[in-house]
Amino acid sequence: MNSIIIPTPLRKFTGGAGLFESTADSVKGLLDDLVSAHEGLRQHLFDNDGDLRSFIRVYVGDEDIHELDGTATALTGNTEVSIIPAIAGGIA
Amino acid sequence: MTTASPQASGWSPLGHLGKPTGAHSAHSGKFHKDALPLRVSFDVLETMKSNSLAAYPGEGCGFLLGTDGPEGRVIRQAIEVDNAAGEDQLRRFQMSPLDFLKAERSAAREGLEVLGIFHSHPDHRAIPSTHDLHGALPHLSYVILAADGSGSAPEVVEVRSWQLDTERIFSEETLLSHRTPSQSH
Repeated sequence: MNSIIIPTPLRKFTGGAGLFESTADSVKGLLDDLVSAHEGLRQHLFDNDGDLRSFIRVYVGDEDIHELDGTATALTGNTEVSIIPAIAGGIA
Repeated sequence: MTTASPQASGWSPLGHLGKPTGAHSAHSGKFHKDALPLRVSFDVLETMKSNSLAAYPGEGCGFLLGTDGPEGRVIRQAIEVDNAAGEDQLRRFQMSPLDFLKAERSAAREGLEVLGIFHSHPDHRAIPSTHDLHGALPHLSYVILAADGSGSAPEVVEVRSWQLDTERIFSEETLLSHRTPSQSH
């Protein structure tokens, strides 16, 4: 079983749960299972094209999936994945 | 049930602190009249203001930690972080994922929650921009400080707080603070 850690502000969409578990064998599968179980999360994690929002970072263990195979990164079981926001903005 | 008014307990609404800045942001936002107020202690307000002035003409930023109760959120701690936007920090702010993790862990140790962030808008109104919207999370309070550099020294002229709703629209929430340090103790 693989698990994904939800950041505190997004736990309003998971009934307060900070951890979600799934048997999915890739990051994409795990994220798909997560948003299927908690539909309210979808628009905050993904844009209208279905791509991960640019400020949402996903780590497998201590590694950013951008340094791995992106959302295609394989999960071998008992892997801990984290969703970590990189909040950004600015005047222009 | 009766509840003491915010003013009666020393809490005063913030907003314009001086002259309004001339420039406007692209995003107008709306006021969420039913939302509970956000209270920030005098010390937290001073930390946010000094951070905004130190960062001027760039954008300063940080996390807000506190407690969320039936009368609304009370921010007890502000954690300043580096603006990771690099050369763009005159018009952008970026909070690193590592700093977010540190803030969450710090909050957990202190029995608090990460309830919001703050950032400054140099020479712009304290209103969320389109860029703020793109990089925002719901259920966080977004305190924006307008830093005005038109005088002899920069000053914070407006402090307002916003929350992104589940439809990804920013609404303003009432922001209360103490006018003097003694009221916070």
